[in-house]
Formats: sequence, structure tokens, C-alpha cells
Amino acid sequence: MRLRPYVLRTLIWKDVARLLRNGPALMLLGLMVVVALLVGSSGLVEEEAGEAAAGPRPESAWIVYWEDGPWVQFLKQRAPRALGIRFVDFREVASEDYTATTCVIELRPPVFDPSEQVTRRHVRYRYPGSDPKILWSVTRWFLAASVEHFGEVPQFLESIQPLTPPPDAASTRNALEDVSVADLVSLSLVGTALLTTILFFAACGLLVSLTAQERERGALRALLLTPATYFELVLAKGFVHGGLALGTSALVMGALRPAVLSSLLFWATLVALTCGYFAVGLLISSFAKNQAAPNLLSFGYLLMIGTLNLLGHRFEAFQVLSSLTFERYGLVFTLASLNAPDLSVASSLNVMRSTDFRMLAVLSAGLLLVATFVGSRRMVRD
Amino acid sequence: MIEIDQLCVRFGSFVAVDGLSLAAEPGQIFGFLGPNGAGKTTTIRVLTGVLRPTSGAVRIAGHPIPARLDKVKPLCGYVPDTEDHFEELSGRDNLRIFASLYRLPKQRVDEALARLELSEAAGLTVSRYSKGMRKKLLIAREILHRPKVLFCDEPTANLDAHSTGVVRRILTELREQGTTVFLTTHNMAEVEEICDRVAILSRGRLLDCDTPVAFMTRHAERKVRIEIDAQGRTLRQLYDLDDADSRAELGDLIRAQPGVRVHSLDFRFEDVFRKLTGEAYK
Repeated sequence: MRLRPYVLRTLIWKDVARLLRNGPALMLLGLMVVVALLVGSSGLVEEEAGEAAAGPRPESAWIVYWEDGPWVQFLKQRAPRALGIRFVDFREVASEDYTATTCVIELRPPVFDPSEQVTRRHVRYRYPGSDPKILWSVTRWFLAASVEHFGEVPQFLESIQPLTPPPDAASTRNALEDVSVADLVSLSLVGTALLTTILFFAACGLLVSLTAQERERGALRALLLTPATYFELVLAKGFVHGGLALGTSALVMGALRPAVLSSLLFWATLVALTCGYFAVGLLISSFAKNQAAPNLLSFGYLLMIGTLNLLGHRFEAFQVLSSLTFERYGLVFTLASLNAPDLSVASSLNVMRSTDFRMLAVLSAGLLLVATFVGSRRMVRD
Repeated sequence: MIEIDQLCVRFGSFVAVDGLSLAAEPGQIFGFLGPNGAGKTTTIRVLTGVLRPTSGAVRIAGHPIPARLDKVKPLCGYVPDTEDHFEELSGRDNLRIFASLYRLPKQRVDEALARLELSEAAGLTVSRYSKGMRKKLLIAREILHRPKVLFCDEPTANLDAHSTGVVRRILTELREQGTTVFLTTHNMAEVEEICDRVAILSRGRLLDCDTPVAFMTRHAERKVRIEIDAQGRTLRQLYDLDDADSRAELGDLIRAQPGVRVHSLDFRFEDVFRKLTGEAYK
């Protein structure tokens, strides 16, 4: 397999020139950045940015545990001084002891979840006053450290309660109805949704569209009759579409949560997901000779993955299938890295050594190898 | 330069090329003719390494195809029958990409554009080009690297008379520079005008391979048409000069009717082609 810089440079220039003349695609990616800027400039960031915002912040935080296991030990090691976290055995404290300015995370005994038919760790977040947003700075650290400890986003049975009910019963009910755990990670969810869309569009959809166009017109064949090889062609496309996906993601996250741009876990997850989506795009391009079919196939692929993961979540029979999709792990780690934007390099490496992250890397790389091989058989020769 | 030995290409039970053997020498315009579906494009696809043959051997400049395609690719150019440009880029940018892949100096692009009379439209995006301009751009692209073998699939289709002349001139210039031009065309006048050697294919099989003059000599039919005015009507009759009875009958007629008008019928290469391929189908 020969890789010549001048061939790669030319092919990259060709792909970039074609992309720059693709107005609708650039507009769509620009729209993602605009959405991120709008979300970033809205109150959502302020409520979650913790230190940066003028919002509420607890004077101290307690971690109340029912069992002093490895998880609690790990949390003790990772507890930042700035948050003033105190670890307390549940036998040493009663609810009445909580001060009016303290946030509490109760690590309760595992509970059987009848809807999912599994036993889950029970975590209850309790906040002082009437504004649950005060929990953010503590929960952000807690979720990041838990992700680091378990090597995945742990599926807790979670609940949120105020320490003392506000005087107005109606406002208590409203507060409880309005607030869910999802609210605490809403920016992460927005970020994950935007990133997934960008990665799929830039690394898969756009690749499929432009490659199918080249195949349909015969331009791909013309290039393959020059000294350029198939692998150089694919590598150039990888650089361009991967670069576009990662570059747009960086712009979006720069607007949404700049801190995450220095997270190794974030970039590792993004690169793995980009590889996976690029492989899917390459595979679809290999099987379709015109433009209509691959666009339909891309849409079908998205539907299939969504359905598979939904069914895998509910039915055991589909769990094996859904566990073989790289998206299942990729989305979890994207969310995890956005939840823990200031994860250190050492902690990122620790998470990346987990089985789930290895699965993500193996599935993406494996799919890329298969797609490259299939493409070399189907695209080079008729 | 091009050697094909017992080439067979099958698509399932359909035989596209059946035991084709031929050779084209350096500095030769080799006409590769046949009716639609005869297997011409399939053969070119095998020669360019796009398609694997079912059996048989193919060599270009001594290198077997597809085993040493990497050696052959820089030596070959291929002008396909359909346009395969990057439509959103300009004509010049299209050529720049290919020039750069062959590591050619930039002035080659301008030279090729000027040679095909495309300099003025070089900055326009290809989507604005007419069919003829696109075809000329294809040829400009494929002669950039001065190939030793140029495969041309109907290079003058959709071209006006002037552009057709330009393309024919370029092909003959390439021949003088030692390039082997492997030409498929349905324009028989073109074959007569520029081809040095011609192979005629039908249903995947080689019917005959020779020079155009030899084809004409071997297959031409000498016929005359006579016209006689009789009882206010013009009678027309065809006589074959290669047939003794027909010749004698014509002699008698001329002696009996001194006012008879005799026209010799021009037998073109197109008639040879029709005769051969028509017979093949019969």
C-alpha cells in the first residue's frame, strides 16, 4: 500500500474544493454552529457553567453513603477541595442534620427496578432552598468521577428532592414536576444531539452523497486510472470528511462548553465515532452506484440503529445486536465527556481503558477495515 | 504495444467477448469497430484494468493486466464515451487535479487547454460547458501526461465539424509522436481518414483485422447503375462488374442503347462494415 504525499495533497484539495462548492451542506453545518451559539448564549449555559455564572452555589456538599465500598473510596480521592465535600456514613447523620446551605448526594442501597428488571444503584440528590440548579457544580463533579470509576455512564436510579419543602405547596409540586435529572445534564444532551448530527452528516451523509456522485458520473473511475490508488483516495476522503466533522464539532463545543475541548476522553470518543460513521458511509457508497440509493440507505441506517438501540434497551433479545453497534458506546461516552468536561488526562485514560470504550474503538476500527476492504472490491472494479 | 490473446469476458451466461486476439503496434491508430453491444467497451474496460477478464491474457507495453496495472497506469490515457468531470469545478481545475496526480508542470494544463481551443472557457465551471466542450476537455485531460497508449471511446461524438477536425488532428499528431491510439467509433469516414489498422467485432467475436485499404480491396463490390429513358419513364438497373453474366448483359445493353447513362457506385468503408457485420448477424 503506497501513500504518496503529493497524491494525497491533490486528492484532499479536490475534495475540499468540491465541498466548498456544496452550498446546502455548508449551510447545514453552519446552522449547527448557529444553534450551538444560540444555546450557548441562552440561560442554559449560565445555569450549568457553575463557577462562571453568577448563579447559586452551595456552601458545602455532603456525600452520604450506605456502604463504604470502592466507589466511595474513589469519590473520596477525587473530591475537589473547592466544593467542600464531606463524606458521611448514613448512620452518623439524620436528615434534620443537613444545614440549609448544603447540597446532599445520598448513595442509597441498590434498588430493584421492576420496569427494567434490574437492580440499580440508588442516588438521591437533595438541594437547599427552592432552586435545584444549585446542585449543578456538585453533580457535575460526582457524575464525572462516577464515569471515571465505572468506565461508563452508570445507570443510577435517580431522584431529586428539596431538603425542606418550601412554604408554598403548589410551588413545591411545580418544582418537582419541572425538574428531572435530565435537566441537570440538558446542555450535555443538546451537545450530544448536535455532535451526533454533525458527525453523521459530515462523516457519513456528505461522504456518501459526494462519493456516489463521483461513481455515478465516472469521475471515481477516471481518478483510479491515474497513478492514484484506492487507499489514497479513501485516506484523502477520510482526512477531509473527518476533519470537517471534528472541526465543526470543535466549533459547536467551543460555543456550548469550551472546557470540554481540552478533554482527552471527548476527542478520543469523537475520533472513534467519526471513524465509525466514515466506515458506514464508505460501506454504503460501495454498494450504491447512483445518488438516490445511498441517501435512502443512510436514512434507513439511522432508523435501523435507532430502533435497534431502543429495542435493545427494552428487550433482552435485541441487547446482543445493539451491543454490536458502535453508536451504543459512542453516545454514552460523548454524554459522559460532556458531563465531565474538566476530566484530567489520567482520568480520561482510565476511562478509555474500560471494556465499553475498548468495544467502541474495536467496533469502529473493525467496521472501517471491513468498509475499506469491501470498497476496494466494489469501487475499483465494476 | 497492446497484445490481446484469447480474451473471454462472461457476465453469467452472457458472453460479451469471446476468444478475442489482436495486437496494436506503437505509433498506430487502431480502429476497434463493431455494432452496438459487440464488446468494444467491455474490451477497453479490461484493457484499462476496470474489469477482470474471465480468461485470456492482456498485455500493455509488455506488462500483464491487471497484475501490473500500477506500471501501466502512467502509460495510458482513457477518453470514455461519457463525461466524467467534476462538474462543480472549472475546466482548468479539473485538469489541474489530473496534472498534479501525474506530477506534471502547471504549463501543461494551459498547453492542453490551448490545444483543444478551450483557453477562453478554462475558468468556467464544467456544468456550464456544452457537450462538445466537455468532450474536448476529456481529451485535453487524457493527453496531459502524453500517454504511450490512448484509449478513445467515440472521441468525436457530439462534436461539430471544426472540433472533429481538431480532435482528428490531435490523434494523428499523437500517432506521429509514437502513441498508440485505440479508437472505437461509429464514424466510418473517420476510420478511412485516420486509422492505420482496423479490427471489426461482432457479438464478442473478431470478424476481421486489417488495414482499411486491404478491407476495401478484399470486400469492395464494383457495381454500376444504368439509366435508360424509355416510353417517357426512366428505367434504372444495377450491374455487378465482378459477375461475368452481369458484365456481359451490361455490354449488350450499352451496344443496343447508345444513349444509356452509366454511373459507377462508390463503395465506402461503411459498406464493408455493413457487409461484414450484416453477414455476421445473418
